[in-house]
Formats: sequence, C-alpha cells, structure tokens
Amino acid sequence: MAWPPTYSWYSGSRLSRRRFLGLAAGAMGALGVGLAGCRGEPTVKEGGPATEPGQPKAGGTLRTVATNDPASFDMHQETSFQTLTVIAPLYNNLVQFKPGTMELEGDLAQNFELMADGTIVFHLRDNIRWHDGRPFVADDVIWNFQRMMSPPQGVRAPRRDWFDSVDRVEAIDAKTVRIIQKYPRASFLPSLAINWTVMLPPHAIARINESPIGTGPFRFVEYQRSVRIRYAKNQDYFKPGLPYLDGIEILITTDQRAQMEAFRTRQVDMLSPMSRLEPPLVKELQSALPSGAQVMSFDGWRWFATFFNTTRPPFNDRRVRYAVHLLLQRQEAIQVLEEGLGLIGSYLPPSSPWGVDERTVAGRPGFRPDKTTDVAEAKRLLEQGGITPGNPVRVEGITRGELYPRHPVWLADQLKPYGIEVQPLLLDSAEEQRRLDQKRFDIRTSANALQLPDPDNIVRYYITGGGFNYGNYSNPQMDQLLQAQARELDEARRRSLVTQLISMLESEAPAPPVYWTTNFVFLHENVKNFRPGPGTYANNKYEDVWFS
Amino acid sequence: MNRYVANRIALLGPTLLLMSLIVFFVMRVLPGDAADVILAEEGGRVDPALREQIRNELGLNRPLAKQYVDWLGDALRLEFGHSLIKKHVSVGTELKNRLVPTLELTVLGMLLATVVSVPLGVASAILRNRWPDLAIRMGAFLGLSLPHFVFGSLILLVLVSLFGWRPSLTYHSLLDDPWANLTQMIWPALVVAWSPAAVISRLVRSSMLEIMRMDYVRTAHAKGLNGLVIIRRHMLPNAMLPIITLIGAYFGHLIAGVVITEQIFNVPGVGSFLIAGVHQRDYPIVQGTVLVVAFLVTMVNFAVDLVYSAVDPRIRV
Repeated sequence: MAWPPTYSWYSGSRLSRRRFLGLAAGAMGALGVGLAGCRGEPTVKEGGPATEPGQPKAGGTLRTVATNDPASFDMHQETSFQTLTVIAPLYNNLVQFKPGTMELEGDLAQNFELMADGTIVFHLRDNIRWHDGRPFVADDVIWNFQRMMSPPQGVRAPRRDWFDSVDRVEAIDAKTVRIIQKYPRASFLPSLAINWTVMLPPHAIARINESPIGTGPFRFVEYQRSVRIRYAKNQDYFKPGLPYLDGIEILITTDQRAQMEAFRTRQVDMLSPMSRLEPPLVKELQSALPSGAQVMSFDGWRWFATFFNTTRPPFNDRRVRYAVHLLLQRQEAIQVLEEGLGLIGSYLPPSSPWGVDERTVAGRPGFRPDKTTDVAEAKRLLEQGGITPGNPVRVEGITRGELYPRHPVWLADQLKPYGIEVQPLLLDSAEEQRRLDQKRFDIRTSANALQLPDPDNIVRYYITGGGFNYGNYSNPQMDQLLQAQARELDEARRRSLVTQLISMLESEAPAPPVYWTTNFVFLHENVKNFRPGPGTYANNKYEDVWFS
Repeated sequence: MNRYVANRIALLGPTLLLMSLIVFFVMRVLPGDAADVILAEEGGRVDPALREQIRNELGLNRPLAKQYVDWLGDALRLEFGHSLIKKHVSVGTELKNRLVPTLELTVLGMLLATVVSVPLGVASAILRNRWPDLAIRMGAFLGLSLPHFVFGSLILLVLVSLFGWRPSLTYHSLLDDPWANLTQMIWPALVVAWSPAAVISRLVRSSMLEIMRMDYVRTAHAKGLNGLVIIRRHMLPNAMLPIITLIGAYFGHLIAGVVITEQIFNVPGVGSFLIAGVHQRDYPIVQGTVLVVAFLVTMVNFAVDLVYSAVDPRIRV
C-alpha cells in the first residue's frame, strides 16, 4: 500500500469533490484554512523550528515525563487528558489530522468516502496487525464503535454523545466499513481523529490493563506505577519506516517542579503535553532555558469560565449575569491567574476559524480593556436588579479546590466593590459534583476543554438539559440555533448561524468566558519533528518524531 | 516476658479492628463517594439513575455492615480489595510495592537522625554554652522550624542551580541498584531526618546535663576513668530511655508523614497513594493503607517496649 494515504472522492449520486468541500468545510476545510494563519499551529518561541527539515534518523529512546499515572489503558472509558496523552502511542484512529492542521488523512483507513447523506465508507489498509500478531479487520472497527456508542454493563462510555448521529456501523467486507448516519453531522468525521476514539483490541480487552495491545507505533513493555512506563518500537508497524524512535520512556511525577528540573538537568528530552506545566513554572523555565532547548506554544482550546446557576436569584436575571460579564477584567485575570500566558476570547477559541479573533473580541463590551463604559452600564443593570454596594447580595462560588483555588478568590475580589459578595468554596471533586447535581451553588468557576474547536463541541454547555449545562440555562431560541448549526454543512450558512449564536451567548451570558489558555512544550535540541495537535487530544502517537 | 508478649499480641487484634471500624465509618461520613468522583471526572451534570447504576456496580449500595465484613475478609487475606476508581488496581499489591520505598525512607531518615543527633547532643552537653553548643542548638532550632517542603525544595534548588544535577525521577530498588537507590534516597532521608535529629539532640543534651550531676558520674571521675568511657558506659545508657521512646514515636510519625517529601523527591511511597485515595473517596485504598500503617506503628511501639528492657535492666516486661 502506498504511503501517505490518499482520499478518494465520489461524484454523481454521491458527492463531487467540489460538493464535498462545500459541505464538509463546515467541519474540516474551514478549520484547516483558518488555523493555517492562526495560533492553532504551534509557535516556536526559542531556538530552531521543531519541524526542522533534514533526513529523519532511526534510533534512540525518547524520555519524557507525565504528571499522573494513567487511570487505565482503556481509552474508551477514560476522561483524563493525562491518561490520553500517555497511552496514545499504543493505538491508532481510523483517521488522523495532518500534523499542525485540521486537514484529515487516513490512519488505519487507507482512504474514506463521505456521501451526501452523511454515510462514510472507510477502506482499511491490508497489512495492519495488532501487537500480538492478529490481523486488524472490519469487525474490530464495528466492535469498537458499538463499545463507544452502547457499551456493555460495567463499561463507561463518556463520549457517547459524539455518536448521536450514527444510525449503524456495518462491515461491507473484511477491509471495508460503512457508517450510516441518521443525519449529517459536521463534527463527526473530525471526532474520529481525536485519540479518544482509537481502536482497541476486542480479543484482548479483558487484559487491557495488564498487557495492553493496540496497532500503534509503539508496544507496551513495562509499567511501574508512579515510577515509569516504557514502550518499544513496533517492528511490524503498518506504516513503512515508522516509527523512528526505538522506544519511549515516560517517567511519572506529580511534582511539576521536579518535571521542570528533570528537563533542565536533561533527565528527560522533552516536557510534552503530558506535563502541562503550570504558568509560573513555564515562565521560570522560559527565563532559564537550557542551551539549545526550545519552547513551542499552542492553543489548548481550554477556557476558564464562570457558570451561573440560572435557576435561582440573583443569576436567573439576565441583567445581573450580563453585568458580571461586563465587570470582569479579563486582561487582569490573565496576568494574575496565568502569568500573562492566556488569550482573550469569546465562547469559541480565538484561534478557531469559527471563533472571534483576540483583537476583535478585545473591542467588544466586557472584553475591552477600558472598563469605563462597561462599569457604568454594569452598575445600572445591577441597580435594576436590586444590587448595590449598600445592598449587597451574597453568593457561593464553588470550584475544584485542588485545581483552581485562586479563581473564585479572584472573582470575589472583582465583584465585591459592586455589591456581589462571592464566598469562595474550594471543594474536592466528589463534593463539587454533589453540589452541581443538587444545584447548591450560585457560581461555578472552572476550566473546560474542547476536543475540537468546532461549534458543535459547545452545544452541551448551553443547550437545555445539556450534559455540561451546569447552570441549567434554558432558552428555546438558543437551543434552535445550537441545533441548526450542528446540522448545517454549508460553510457560509453555518458561519452565519454561529455568528448569531456567539452574539446571543455574549448577550445572555450564561457562563461568561474569562480567558483561553495556552499550552507549552519544551524540547531539547536533539528532539526533531514533534508536531502536536491540533489541540492536545490528537496526534499523540510520536510516530514521526526522531532524534538528531 | 512471654506473657507480656502474648498480651501485646492479643491486644493487637482488637486495636486494629477498632482502627478499621473508625476509618471505615469516618470515610463514609465525608460528603460524596467514588461514584461522584467518577462522574465528576467525566464532567457534566449527572443523571441520578446513572449514579445509582455506578454505585451498584461499585457495591456502594450494599448495607454498610456487609461492605465492612466483605472488606475485612479481604484485609485478613492481605488483599484489601480493589480500587473503586481504578478497578484493576489491587490495593494489597500496590501497598506491598509502595511500602518498600516508604519504609526505606523512614528507616534511612531515622538512622541518619540517630547517628547524627546522639553524638551532637552529647557534644552539646559537654561543651555547654560554648560555641559548638550554640551552633548545634541553632541547627536544632532550624530543624524544628523549617517545614519539610521548604528544606526539600532548598536542597533541590542548590543541587540543580549549583551542580546542574537532581536526584533521579525514577525510583531504583535498593536490591536492584544500591548506588542509584542511595543517590536518590539520601536527599529525602536528610529532609525527614533533620526535624527528629533536632529534637533528639536537644533531648540527649538535657538528659546528659542532668546525668552529669549524678553521684555515680562524679564517682567515676574520681576513680580516674576516662571521660569517653564514662559517657559510653555510664551516662549514655541512662540517658537513652526517653530517647528510645522518642525514636519510636518519630518512626511511627514518619511512616505516615513523609508524603510531602515523597512527592518532592518522587519517591513512589504510600503517602501519595493515601492522599489520592482520600480525595477520590476510594474507600479500599484509604482503609487498607490506614490499617497497614496502624499495624506498623503498633509494631514499632511494641518493639520499643521490648528494647526498654534490654537497655534498662530495671524494667521487666
């Protein structure tokens, strides 16, 4: 089979190439174009480019470090970004993003076809084997989709909603799989490139945590809990010549300062997305970068937001929510909470072609640095809502204490002069979840991550009854817009809907975004061709990384 | 002696049983459970039916008495059940692996503390109010006032900044690679040793000062005995009783108290396991760890009692 893989587009009763581009651009094409000139692609801040040209060399073991033990090796059941990045080198997706872009190419699939009705046909390569030598076939794909969509009892499927549009998955033959959708969904195909949807071995799933196997570029060798994980090169990998590395050694430590010191003393070759150093340590390391080392920055598609409980006063009043949106000093938040390493953005990532870029957003009410007009308007709205400094309202601001302890404190400081006294409550995850479910909170501050910067990914935060609609916000008009854009494949029409959607969200303020975060990767000069993403949930296989 | 040992061993069972009951019920008083943690990790609002389904799968809906008895059965087989969050993780196996580095760190720390602090305490007493005494007392004050995480961070700062080196992030077993093990463990051992060393040296100093005024010490001097011999044969053995008590107490304290040091120096011990268990309401982890630590502390106290009789012939156990 030829490498790299090619797409094959159908015309006539199916889709012409032009027609497809017109339709699927809503999910992929536009994202690719948009990201080409924005910060979705990694930016190299120091040293030479990470993707520097040269003849790749085989050999060497990449040493990196992770912040946590993987919760398990069963990707479908996990939700932690840390777990995903650590276990991804073992597995493959059906498709993958071309590094640094949102353009899709085959991974396990040699090529794929997308029909007008949303049906997708995947043609699998014919030389793929699991790490134990068994061939990878179409039935394996079907088993994986069934497991992710409707798992057996005792198996979690936290991304079940990604497959809402799927009617059925069937094997045409041993090398061809057809996915029939109930309705075309713009974000479905790109979601199959996210590492959460990798293919796991049906025949070895019972022992996935003891001896994990996949089809990926690296085989499992050893796991010492809280110490290290070792992977070795898959000599039978189906992509000729890959991977270049002989292996990967992932050290595990929860102490981020230890990670930074390990990089400075060259105990590790890189601080990958597995680390996600906190901003103060990023600044510290940036200021004392070892000779030859380089740092790459890229958007994490992760934002810090304030979710209001819209079922009870005072935040059931749109005027009060909008007033808070106007009062938040976002530039200050980035300085105070992220050491200046963040972006001002609205309800979609500023780097996303669907979002509003940082400069434009910074001119809008609530986001602009000059707060004179915003504060005056906010005071007026709060007065209408019966809130003044002389007649303050007391509210509870909850958060995950171990993750975001400073956020509600910052919020309390921001709002107190205007009569909203936030009592910060730093809770552990169990207690916070109970309070969210029982609606015993007024504001919930948290960071949230998008797997894809697609408008479809934010639906569940704001639609009535949505799984992530913590504040129980409900607005029929908003629901209609959220649903309409998800099914609209024409880029121009979808863009118009998304613009209306963002505008309505800013005005309704169910959960005003405060800022978007930036991710950093540090590499020593010998690590070549590390091209993460897009985002941090894709392309974590290290198959084309090499040592100079 | 035999009767005393038999009594202590007989008391061990009820003590551990009481401890297991306390930790079992205290954990369940905390708000939320492992089902909440699992659902929180997935994010989003929760369907109550789904929560109940998970609670059923985890066995959290069974009567408390049944949960306790089942877990106790596992504990008696030294298995302690499986983690509720990471179902494939056996608590017994994990504890076995993690106790080794924790015990090594504790023993090494106490060894360092004792070896350093006893001679310093003696020197401090003999050279009372002279500059070595003042220097030792100053060091002891520092040891008492400096938290472990500050001292640990300072050590790493010096190592990284001045020498461009830090102890390995990877834990090497003492048996597999003694040198790599010691180069990693000596630094956290220093950190955990300083505080007990400070207390022990001060205790040795005050005990020695008290004993120096005793008649039998004056008699020994009058007989013309060498000063070192007097210290070794007559003074130290009499000063050791409270020191042994202190060492025993610190030993128990350190087994469960080295969690921060373990984290700073990346030692994969029981501390971080226990903390994660508490945060995640992972009952089997917390119950198993507390029970094992309680057992070890009880055994150390028992050993201390036995050592008393060896050191002081007046004490008969």
